[in-house]
Amino acid sequence: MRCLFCIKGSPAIAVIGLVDLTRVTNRIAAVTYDPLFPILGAGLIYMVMISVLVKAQSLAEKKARRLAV
Amino acid sequence: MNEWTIIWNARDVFLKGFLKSIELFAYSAMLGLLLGCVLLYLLEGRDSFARSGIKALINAMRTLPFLILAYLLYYGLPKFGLRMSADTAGLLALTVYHGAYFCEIFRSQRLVMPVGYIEAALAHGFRHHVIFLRILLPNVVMNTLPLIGNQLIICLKDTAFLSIITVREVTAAANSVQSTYFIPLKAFLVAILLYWLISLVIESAIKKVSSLGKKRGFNHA
Repeated sequence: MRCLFCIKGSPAIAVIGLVDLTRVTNRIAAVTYDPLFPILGAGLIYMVMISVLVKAQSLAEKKARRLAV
Repeated sequence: MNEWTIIWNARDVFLKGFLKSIELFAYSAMLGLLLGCVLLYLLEGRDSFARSGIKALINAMRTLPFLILAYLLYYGLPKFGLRMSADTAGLLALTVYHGAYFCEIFRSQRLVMPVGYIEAALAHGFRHHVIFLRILLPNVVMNTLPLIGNQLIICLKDTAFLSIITVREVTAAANSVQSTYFIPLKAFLVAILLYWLISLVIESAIKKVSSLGKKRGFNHA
């Protein structure tokens, strides 16, 4: 669960100047003057990344429960 | 001039930011809790098309970083002709995001609630919404208090993100002070102290409410 928060908090590092997904989004938006689609795209990428982790977590939980019983 | 004197002279900026942060946090906490309760009520009953829609919305909030949601509301929506002030957009983002989390917290408690409670209420002739208001909701809320407190503190910390969409709260105040006088360490130390103060208030409030719950007999196991 906490590793998900780690990814979800990562946009904060864009604020102090690291070039991550959010920073790239801002750069694209600044060049094209159209922020909607870059932000939607970035949101989609984050959602896919985190959904994969959520899925992996639920698989791991199932496995752990099977091992424990 | 001493650096602390500079900060003391800029106290108006900090105070204004502090009040703005408290205001944003208070409104979003109340509206978010309310939204969580409403979503919990809507999720009662068998799965239908609308309910899976709500679940999808909650899952979308759980997988979306808060900053991206705030960006989307503030920079993305004007394309559809929906232009909000930074404060409104921030408040809306906080409310929707944390409302979904509160609902998820309540739902996890709802799933482990004994079936006998509801059955007994039905046997006594309670109606659906009365069962929810007087039996389900108090039990769920009182049993999830530590989680709610935790989520409230996360909500408070998320208000700091709103400085990026130009809301004038504590982080923005600290940032403007540090960029004007170039005293980053002390300006942000003050911001940290102010956030810490609000967190202490939240913690003690949760403690008060849970001792009230103990008095009313909510924590029998």
